[in-house]
Amino acid sequence: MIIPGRLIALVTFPGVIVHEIAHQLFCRLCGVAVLDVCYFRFESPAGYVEHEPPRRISQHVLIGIGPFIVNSLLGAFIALPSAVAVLQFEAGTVLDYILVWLGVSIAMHAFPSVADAKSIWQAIWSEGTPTLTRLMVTPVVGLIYLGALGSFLWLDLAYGVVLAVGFPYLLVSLLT
Amino acid sequence: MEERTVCEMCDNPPEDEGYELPLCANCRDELSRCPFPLWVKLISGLVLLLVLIAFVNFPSSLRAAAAFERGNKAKSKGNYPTAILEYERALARFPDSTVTMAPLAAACGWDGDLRKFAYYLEKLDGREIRADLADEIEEILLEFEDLSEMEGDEQ
Repeated sequence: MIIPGRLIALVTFPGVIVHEIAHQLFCRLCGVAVLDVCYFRFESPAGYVEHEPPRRISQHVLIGIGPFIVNSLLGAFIALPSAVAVLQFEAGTVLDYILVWLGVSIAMHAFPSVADAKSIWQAIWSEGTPTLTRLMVTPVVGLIYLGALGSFLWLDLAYGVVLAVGFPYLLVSLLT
Repeated sequence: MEERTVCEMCDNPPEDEGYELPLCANCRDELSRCPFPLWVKLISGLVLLLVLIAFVNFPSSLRAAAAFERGNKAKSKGNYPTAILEYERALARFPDSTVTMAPLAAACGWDGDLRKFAYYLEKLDGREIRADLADEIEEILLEFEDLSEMEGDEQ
């Protein structure tokens, strides 16, 4: 089923906002100047962080994959207390359903965008980048592209659900 | 192209080479610390509060989920008294959970506890349950019918 990206972004808008916050947060951690931020809009892309080109490749990669770290952890954390009630017992309260929606929305926007991948790609193939760095970072860019392609097959949603459900199930299996 | 010798934001000399954008250390630091808007902070605080509230019930939910899993294991081994005990623990936390009530009803049926079996069947009336559990309950009901027919014949 093909649903317009804008509609998905609208339904899962908290994930878009957290995605951009994560980019901004990693810019701050890397000391990279942020020139403009849009947390959410009903256009494509739904959000963006415009920053100066980082000095080091590692900063470029960190800023690019920042949302993967932040959205994954935050999404799993937010859904954790409510996932059991909603997904296992189908007996959640309104608050539980809100938190699962929030958690899944945030986790499903963990994948860096194609624009993020392009930005890292340009950086690693710029003049003066050591070959070892190129060899190490190229698979990361490949994975980001795969993730972006996978969103056509709902891989991002599957990732969000697995993260939201996965932790509670892991805990339950440890308890039994 | 002429290289800029002053910061884009002020007239101070830009930071060392390596940066494409000529900014002095202070301006770069200020821009990198671009503040999060107030609404972002407020919503983050609200979400954190909601998560903390939800975490209050989390340990009991987790214990219920573990009890449910133990109930499933016991039921699959035919240990119905243990299964009933574990399912009832899960049901104490989620009293209206059809997911728990259906296997509990089946376990009560297989255990021969007619009173509880009838009680949970009544509660399940009109609810949608998993096909395999519906078949199982149907099978138990047929066995009870056969038994009562046999008892009737004997009398």
